[in-house]
Amino acid sequence: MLYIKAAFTILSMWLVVRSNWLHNLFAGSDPFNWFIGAIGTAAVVGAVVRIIL
Amino acid sequence: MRDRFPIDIDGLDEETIRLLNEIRGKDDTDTGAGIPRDLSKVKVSEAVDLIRLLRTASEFGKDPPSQSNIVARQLFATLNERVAQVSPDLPRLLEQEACLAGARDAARDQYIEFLKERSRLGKPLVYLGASLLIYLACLVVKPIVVVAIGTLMSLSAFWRSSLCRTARAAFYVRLAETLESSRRGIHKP
Repeated sequence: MLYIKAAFTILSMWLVVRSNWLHNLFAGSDPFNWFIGAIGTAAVVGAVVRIIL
Repeated sequence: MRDRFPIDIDGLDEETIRLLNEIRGKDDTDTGAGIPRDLSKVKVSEAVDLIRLLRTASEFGKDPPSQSNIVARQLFATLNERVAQVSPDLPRLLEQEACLAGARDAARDQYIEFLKERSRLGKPLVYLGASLLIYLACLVVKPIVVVAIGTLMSLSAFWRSSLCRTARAAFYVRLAETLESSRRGIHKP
């Protein structure tokens, strides 16, 4: 059960980081800006999912 | 390949006959049937279409030019010369059009390559690795701390993003206009 929860949390974070929508939202002159934004959002989503689970 | 408009030359390959059929024939506007084209009385618009067709047909890659390539090149040069006599700027404009079409195709190829690159194994691994690291951070630190750090990271990234910068610039312009109009309103006699 623990592994399923871990897999679900990581999968949700991975989907967030891969999202094109976030890429467009955080795109800027700095090429890594979108990645920082996406990682930050994934951290929030991952932590929230972990709290809920 | 049957020769729609027979020509008295032997030794033409299928590709060349197909090319000559396209050049020497056209579709009748009323019936839609193929009729011979009088190449001695070609309109400029028709010649432009033929030049576009011949430009594509004259292109060849690493292999030596085929018979149809050679024929297309000769016809292309002749037609270009004739068109230049009527409208001197037209060949240059057609050349620019072909360059733009080439640039468009190259950009499309680059984009396809970019999409392929994105779907490769490397980048998903980076994303998955980042997700795994965040998950481990969630285990070590309290999730609420991770939420706080993540929120700070996303907000700072959003503040620096083009979208937010554009919105801010638009807001500043609107604010300046409002202040300017209110200042005029105050100073109005």
